[in-house]
Amino acid sequence: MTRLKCMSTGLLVSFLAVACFSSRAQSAQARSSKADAVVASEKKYVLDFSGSQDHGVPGGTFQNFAFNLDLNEPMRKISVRRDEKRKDLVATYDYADCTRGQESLLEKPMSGLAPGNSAWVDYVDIEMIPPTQRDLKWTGGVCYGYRKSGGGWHWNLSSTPLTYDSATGRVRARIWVKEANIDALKLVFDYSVPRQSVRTVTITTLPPSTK
Amino acid sequence: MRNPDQRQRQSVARDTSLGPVRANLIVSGRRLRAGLSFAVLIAVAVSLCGCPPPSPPEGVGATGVGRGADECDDNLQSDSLAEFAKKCSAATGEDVPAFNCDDGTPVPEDHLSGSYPSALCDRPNVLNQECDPGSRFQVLKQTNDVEIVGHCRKKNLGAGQYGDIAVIQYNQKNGATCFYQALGTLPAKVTAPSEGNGPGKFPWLDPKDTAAIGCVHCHDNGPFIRSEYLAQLRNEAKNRLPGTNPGPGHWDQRFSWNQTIPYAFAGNDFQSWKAYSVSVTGTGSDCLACHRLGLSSIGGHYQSQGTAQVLGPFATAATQPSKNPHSADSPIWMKPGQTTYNASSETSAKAVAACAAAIAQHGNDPNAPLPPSGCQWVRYGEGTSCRGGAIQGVLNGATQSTPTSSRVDTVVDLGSCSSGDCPLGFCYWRTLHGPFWQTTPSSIPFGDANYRGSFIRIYGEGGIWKSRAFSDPTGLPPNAPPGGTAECTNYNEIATVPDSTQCFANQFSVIDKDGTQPSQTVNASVATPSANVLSGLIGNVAQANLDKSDVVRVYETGGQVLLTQSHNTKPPSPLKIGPLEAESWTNSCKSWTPVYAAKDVYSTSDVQLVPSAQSHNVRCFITGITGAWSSTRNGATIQPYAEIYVGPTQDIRLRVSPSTDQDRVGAYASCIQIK
Repeated sequence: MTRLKCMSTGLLVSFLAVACFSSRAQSAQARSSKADAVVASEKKYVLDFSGSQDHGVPGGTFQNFAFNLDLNEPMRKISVRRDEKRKDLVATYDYADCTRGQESLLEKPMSGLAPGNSAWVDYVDIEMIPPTQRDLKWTGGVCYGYRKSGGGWHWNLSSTPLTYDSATGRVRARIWVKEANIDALKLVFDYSVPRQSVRTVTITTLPPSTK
Repeated sequence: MRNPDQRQRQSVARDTSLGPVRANLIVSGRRLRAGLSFAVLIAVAVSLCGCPPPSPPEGVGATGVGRGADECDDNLQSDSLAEFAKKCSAATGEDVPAFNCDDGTPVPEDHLSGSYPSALCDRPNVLNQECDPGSRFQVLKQTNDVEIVGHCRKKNLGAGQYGDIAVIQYNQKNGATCFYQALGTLPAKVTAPSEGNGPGKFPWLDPKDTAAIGCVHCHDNGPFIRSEYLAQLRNEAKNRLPGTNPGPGHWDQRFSWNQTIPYAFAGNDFQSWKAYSVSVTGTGSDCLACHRLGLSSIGGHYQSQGTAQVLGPFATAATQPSKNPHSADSPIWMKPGQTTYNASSETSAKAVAACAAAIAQHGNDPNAPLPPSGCQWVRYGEGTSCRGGAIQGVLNGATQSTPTSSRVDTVVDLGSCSSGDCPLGFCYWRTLHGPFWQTTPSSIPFGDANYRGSFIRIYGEGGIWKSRAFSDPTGLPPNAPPGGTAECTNYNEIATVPDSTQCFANQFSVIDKDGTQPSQTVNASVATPSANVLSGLIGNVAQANLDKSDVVRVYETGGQVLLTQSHNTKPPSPLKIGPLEAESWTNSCKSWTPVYAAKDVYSTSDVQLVPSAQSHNVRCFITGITGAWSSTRNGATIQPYAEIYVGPTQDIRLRVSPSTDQDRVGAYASCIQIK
């Protein structure tokens, strides 16, 4: 499956987001219909953070978070309070972003993250509530790490641009993971992304046989 | 010694005025002494306080490329916190004391509206792009040389708690810098790092984790980032950030603060950090009139953050995250005196950002395009263990440049030293390329609009070593500007120098004002043994290979140092005789005899200077050139060059090009041992 490439991080979100997202959406739609037959058995698991303080989990300017996979429910509503210590989600100020060489900082707070269900993760959709500040221009993206069942973290620090969806007023990104035996994921934001709230995360899994 | 033509000498020497640096009148050359007082540097810096935009050079600038050649102990075992603190104390001269965050000065969050973390205020912090009430800043220690500051970020925690505590320890004489960091829910009472971070101690991060943060990502134009967030404390009696108050104090001087201050990273985990100063010609150069803009690399990887790439555009943007709209109460960060958005300032910042991004891209991928014309960089900060040229600058490409039809005037500062223990260094060309030529008579100085010619040179000005490459083919066929790689090695890094404060350099020159003198020699000796470099190639130096090759070189014979030129006065067409000048520096130190690993090795193709076993402890430099250095090939796109480089077996070699045909060239080089 071709990985969508829409805009580089060098472009201004507020300037080009509409056109770009439109392009992304069309491409995604086309690809989706084409792929439906192949991925009929895909399953989606939604983490809904909208009931949290600030209506989401903070992401951006060194705020990152990790969560384990729970395949028992297609929709989990998780209300996260600031500085709350949880075993299924760890939101941290890491002083680290998608810059390589900072993996140790990203992993350091993850020891308390409980094991999750193992899955073959195809992709993850991220929906964020943009900053309320008017006319704020910013660029940036999101990268990720995944934890293999029973073991260590692996990092893909190439960030995927976050783009503004004018139809819904949300900032979005889809990151392609395509990796088996994942039991936890960490979303890491470029430093240049102003802190905003991640409202939902949708994980799409596939049975290993269809990969 | 012959007294060279003074008129031509003066024209060439226009930018060699050494200001307060003492001149040695023993010989006609100029003398650059070690131990330049800090007051001198301040005098130079204060003269820039008005921050006038520099006069841009005429025509296009030049392309700067290259990596700093250095040897750093960057594979050492990580330090414990206590070990790191001990090294930092030794490097800076002061310890970080225990302190209480609650004793700091609250950082104002004026006109605060909304709630954390989405609040707006007049001067939000730049690091987290948020208003963070309750954060406190304090100066923990201050001497004339050393300042240690602590900043406690509240991160919305309760009384007596902070979420991010950081300390910067800095010696402004030798540049030694240390960063300490703690994160989490932290108590206000902070123990000294020297006490370690074990159980029951303050949870300072281990140095390796602080290093992983990559402080230099942003702190790349000096140790302190002077955003409005902390700069608003500039009038505090004690707790004010260095370089924010415009007064003349040791730690003030807002408008010249980080133009020349040294920067070096102490501790095993920080040895691969490097900081580079970016410069541009034309648009963007106004940003650099007051301060450096920086770029960094960690472990050889150039970063995409930093003052040039990110903070400059950030500081000049129409909006800033979490900040009230720009106004007199909430002024835009840059430029000083400006309160609201100015498109011109943002354009300037983006020009520097584009330059830095191109440098980073090329640094990480040699196949990436070269940085654009006028985009230069020089490494000025690195680990304290690093040996080698404290500064390395590349002018118009290390070995080749792009032809242009207009004037190119590239000047790269090679640095200064005020501390006495890293004295003004031994500066030389590691690589150089032509063409060197001049069609106008010696009566027309090269500052004149009518001057047509080219040169490269290393010289002293205002107590600072500089390198310059110039070319003006206006009205003539396009030609490539000359250039090369200029390096400086501090005297205290050179083997067997007993007292680096007793070192000096004398400049000599040999001038043929019209090219009619087939041979000239000046005595470039000083009273003590010396290491001698060829530093200036001006005009029609070495044009031809006839019965014998034209030569310019500095060398020793019979106990004397001689700077000599010899050339055929009837060069083959289309070459013509014309003005030429060669310059050299004689470097010497009291009671020092240089230890040579190679001396005046001549190459007409590619020869070894030093075998690999010795290559880590030498510095090699050009001492002479021969042959056809005025000529080029393929429409000036291929220029003659000489290059000292590290060979495939880690030996050090000297190669020249072209090495065949009538336009072939040759070069001499020497290598001295360093500690």
